[in-house]
Amino acid sequence: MTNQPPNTDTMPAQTDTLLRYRPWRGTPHGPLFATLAMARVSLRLLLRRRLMWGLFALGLLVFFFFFYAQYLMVWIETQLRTETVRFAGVPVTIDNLTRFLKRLALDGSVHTFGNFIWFQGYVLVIALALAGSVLVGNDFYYGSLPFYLAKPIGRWHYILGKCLAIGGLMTLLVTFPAILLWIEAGLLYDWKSYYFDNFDLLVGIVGYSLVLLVTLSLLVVATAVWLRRTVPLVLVWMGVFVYPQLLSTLLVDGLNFPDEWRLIDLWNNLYLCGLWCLQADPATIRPPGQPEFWQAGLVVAGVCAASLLYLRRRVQAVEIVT
Amino acid sequence: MLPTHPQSVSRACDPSPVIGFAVLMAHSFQRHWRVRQMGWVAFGLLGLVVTVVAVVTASRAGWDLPDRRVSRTRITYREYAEQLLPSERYFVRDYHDDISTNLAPQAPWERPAPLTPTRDAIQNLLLTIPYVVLQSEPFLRGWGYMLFSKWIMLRVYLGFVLPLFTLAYASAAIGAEREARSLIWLMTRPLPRWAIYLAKFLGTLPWCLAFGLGGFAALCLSGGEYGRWALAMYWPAAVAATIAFSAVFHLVGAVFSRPIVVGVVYVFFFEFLVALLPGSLKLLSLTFYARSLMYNAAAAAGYPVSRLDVAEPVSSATAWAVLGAATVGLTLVGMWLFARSEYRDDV
Amino acid sequence: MPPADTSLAANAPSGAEGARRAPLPSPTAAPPPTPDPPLLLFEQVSKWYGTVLALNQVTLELTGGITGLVGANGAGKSTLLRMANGQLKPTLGRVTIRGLDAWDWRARRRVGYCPDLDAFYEDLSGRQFVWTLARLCGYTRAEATERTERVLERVGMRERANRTLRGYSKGMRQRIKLAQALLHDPELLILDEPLSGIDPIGRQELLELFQQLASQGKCLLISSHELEALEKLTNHVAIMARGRIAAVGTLRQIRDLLEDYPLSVRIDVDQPRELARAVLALAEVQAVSLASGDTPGLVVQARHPKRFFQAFGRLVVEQHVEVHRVEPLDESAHAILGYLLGGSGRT
Repeated sequence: MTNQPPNTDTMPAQTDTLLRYRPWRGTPHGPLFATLAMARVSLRLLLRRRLMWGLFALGLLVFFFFFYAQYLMVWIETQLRTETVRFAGVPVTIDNLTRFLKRLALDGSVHTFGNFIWFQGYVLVIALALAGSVLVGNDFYYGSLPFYLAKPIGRWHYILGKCLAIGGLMTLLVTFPAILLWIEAGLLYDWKSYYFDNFDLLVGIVGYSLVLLVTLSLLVVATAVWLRRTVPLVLVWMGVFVYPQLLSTLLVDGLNFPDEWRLIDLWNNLYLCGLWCLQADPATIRPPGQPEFWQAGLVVAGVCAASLLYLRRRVQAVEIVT
Repeated sequence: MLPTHPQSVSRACDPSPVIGFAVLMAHSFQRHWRVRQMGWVAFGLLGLVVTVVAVVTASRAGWDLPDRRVSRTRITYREYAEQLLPSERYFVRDYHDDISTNLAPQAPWERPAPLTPTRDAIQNLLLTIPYVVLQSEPFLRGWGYMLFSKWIMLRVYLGFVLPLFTLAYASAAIGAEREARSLIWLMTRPLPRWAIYLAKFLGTLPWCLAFGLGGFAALCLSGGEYGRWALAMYWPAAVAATIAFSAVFHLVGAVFSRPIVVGVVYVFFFEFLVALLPGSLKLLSLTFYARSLMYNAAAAAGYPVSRLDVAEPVSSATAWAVLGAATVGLTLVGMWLFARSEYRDDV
Repeated sequence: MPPADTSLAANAPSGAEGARRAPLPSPTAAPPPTPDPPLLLFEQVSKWYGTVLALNQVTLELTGGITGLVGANGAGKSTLLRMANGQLKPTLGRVTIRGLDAWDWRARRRVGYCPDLDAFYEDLSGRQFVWTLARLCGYTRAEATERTERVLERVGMRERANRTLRGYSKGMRQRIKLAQALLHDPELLILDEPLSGIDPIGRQELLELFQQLASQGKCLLISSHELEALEKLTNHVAIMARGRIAAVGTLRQIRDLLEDYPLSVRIDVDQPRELARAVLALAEVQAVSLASGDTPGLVVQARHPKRFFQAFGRLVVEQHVEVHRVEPLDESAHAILGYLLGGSGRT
């Protein structure tokens, strides 16, 4: 769909006679500019809600846990290097203490960021359900979609705008905090060696975030376009993320089914894709017994394709506003 | 031209708030029936859960131990136990060091030691234990039943099915009206506000029970014999938990404008995390009391309840008291709050 | 021109003109009955939404008739109406319906509310919707059916009430809202933008209906931006501005109170300049200008309209002036609203 800006040279300057304003003589930007504006406004709409601030607070809790735990890890190692601490009168050597903390992977390594994004995912999933309902569901339910579609933008521009808004939300919840953790790790260790040696971690974080952004934004928009109302949307959303995780744990860890059964857990697949971006060693992934990276990538690509196909079908629908 | 209004209607039949209350209950029930999209989604999700449980039940291993594969191998526990018998360990084994065969590589302590008879005898004795255990019917039944109880009852049902479906329906009792901005039609009727709250709760409760208990029954019936035992043993806990969660989420629906999101945060953060914590914090979680009821029921029947992973459960009397008090207390709090609150969702 | 007050007030007392004057009791007669408390009474009511003052010391009393509530957007009309039907509580002051607190559910028996929102149970037909609300009022099935048919007939929706609300036009939805407000035969009808979306023929029908209702003794409080329609309906208005009642009374009374704004009167004569010289000599005249248009005339701005018209009448008789037309230019509700609210009428 092409949207040519109107030719202002031939248009009469009506405002000259009425308000004595000098009419704007620039060239209107194209629909992609409108997409950016839509994303900006949608994000602002989300961030005005107190519930969203509550979810941000939860996300901040997770971030602070990782932030201070990383600091604690380094502090213990540097301050108490050769000492012994006592817990309830029981002496514990520092090596044993840091070994425990290392198991949590709070050392600026691949799994620090992988685990952070995993745990942040619990908040992100709920925030996305709210975002889908507010940004897209409300447009259909309360009939504000015609306001968008009456403007010189296409339906795909509308979808892109909403996806960008959701991407902005994810960036605030996941990408920025993860990058802050990377920066903190560098400052806690030798920054010259850390930042240069682990630059690929930063690239990996951005890659992981991109994977999340593309997959989840498409999925949220597709689900919201399908269901529109908050309650069924949340039901389905929990059915996509919470139940498969429960099921995969039951089947693989509880009933010893083959590891490929973990592929039903979309969040785990995204996690594996993210770890691939972070170039994690498959043998170090916890819990053990994970499918291959390419298998997870295939599932994620399938989800993206299914969402796009559904959106394409809805975009082509004639009665999209009913 | 509109017709002339006849004489004022006789006042022989003054409106009765009791009738209004009863009608509102019925209306609240019917609204969920009419708004079918949520029902179909819930039904579909429940069907998915039940299907998976049924497939696992119907599989060769089911919920039992003997035919279950040892983790990350291709052999079953029964086969592994047989391979530990002296009659199998002394044969030369032609196997590869991978998992693609039906033989498990022998660990050092499993290798026969014919030159040290004492060690060999003790080894034979100890390595025969798995085989003997697998012949014990009570052990196998207990193991299988506890596995089903732990994963399906405590985790899938109490951790996902029950809270999610009661949340969907109970929070929508008032929450959906607020979202659709149709609450004004109820609030302008000559009914006390606390009665509106109570009627909405009682009208939605059958749906919560249908999906809460119906889901429970469906999960149990799809779980074969263990499921039927669970149905008979755990149904009181399921009823108590369903009603208590309904009261909680009904209150959430009246207090928050997006109750489903608040409810999800409550369920998957508070209930999930707090119920697993040691110490006293878990006493704030309703799921903990439901788990305690199930734990005590299984313990009273003589099952090995240590496998249920319920830390420091309370007694059944305490659990019943807390769940009942929570239901009544939260409903009264909701009635009081609703009677005092102004709703401007329709502005 | 609005209908004369007497045609509306024949059977109904006028709006905020206070209680009827009771005759002096004779020494041997029974003590006079205590007058009924006003149907709607706002006593020094203020309402805050956070730091925003929506209503500011509003005092208003209605005993009957039709009262128009006019004001710019954001003046506080909806807040006032919602307080009157018990949806909002005043921060300060009191709102009563026949002496009963408007928040009390029993007060809602006397009040019928037609909101301006456009949210229904969209899956129901118009008939089902009205019938359901009748049942929620507490009527039996038979009574609810009878009342439903009656009110649908009154609002002209009887033949079209079987379609689902989802397919209704704006005007039809408006009529359904009005129907549900009339179900329980309330004494006080609060109508928020009842003419919004109604076609001109339908508007006339509804105006006649409102007049019928008033003639039956009902009190109507109508908020509307359609001042011309309101003027046809009633001469009695309450004007709101910035959360206050700026003026209450008939349009003429309010106009007379606007001393800062002299009355503008157009006078069409053959020799306007000569008349202008004579009119300028009158003490009440502030300014005179020649009228624009095809017919020659003057526009006179005069204080104290009553004295001016008396003096002008004497002048015309004495000087044998042939006057073709005398028309006050700013006695309409639109003009009064403009003066009260200032400039373009915005707050």
